[in-house]
Amino acid sequence: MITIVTLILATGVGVVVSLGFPDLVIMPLAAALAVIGLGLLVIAKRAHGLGLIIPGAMLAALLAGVTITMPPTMNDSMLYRVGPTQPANVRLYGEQETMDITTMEISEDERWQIELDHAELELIIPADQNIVVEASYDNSMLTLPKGIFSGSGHASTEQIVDEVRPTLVIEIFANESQLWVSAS
Amino acid sequence: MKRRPSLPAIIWGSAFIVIAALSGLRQFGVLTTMTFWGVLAPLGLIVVGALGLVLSSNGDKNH
Repeated sequence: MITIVTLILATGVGVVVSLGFPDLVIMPLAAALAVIGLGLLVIAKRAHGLGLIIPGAMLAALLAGVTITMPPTMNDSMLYRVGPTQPANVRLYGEQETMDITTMEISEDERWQIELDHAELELIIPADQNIVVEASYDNSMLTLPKGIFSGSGHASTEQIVDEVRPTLVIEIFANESQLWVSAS
Repeated sequence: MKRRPSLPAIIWGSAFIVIAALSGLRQFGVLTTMTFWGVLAPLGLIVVGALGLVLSSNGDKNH
């Protein structure tokens, strides 16, 4: 009985939290997992709670996977918006940043360098301009539009919408860091 | 006779609550991914170790 009530409660809390935080995928899952955890502590006096441990373990695995692949929600102080003419040779050490270059207009071929050292960067690129991201990474994790890369190596992503227009090449060197690239 | 609470249920329940809390902190950028895994990986080992101890002590009682 406690198992069923806990599972219904976890689902309900997950739905309510998802309504409260519509943009956050992690929060409803975390809230549901916390309810299952509390249910297990209650049920521990009577039973082993296998009916809660199995769905809880599955939810925890899902939550861990989502936590890796989704960038954190940045507050305003972490946002780094690049203006129309601002160069972006950036070095981040031990920081979490979002770099939003969607408002930037690429007027000539350019090459930027971004160095990440124990840092996390969410890079939002404009979907309607030519942008190439070339990354060299060491003990890092990269989430690019074409896939997830982890460990050490090289990865790149090309977005060429019009070959006549100029292209921005962003070179990224990542050491023990995490990078998310998305087009908007 | 008073029944003892189930240790596996307490261990799993506590682990789920900690994982949920860590994920929440990660979502809001309080923890980095590296810190998240730095806490979660040892926690996972502790949970597995504790469960192993509980299960082996239960096995000893049955003999």
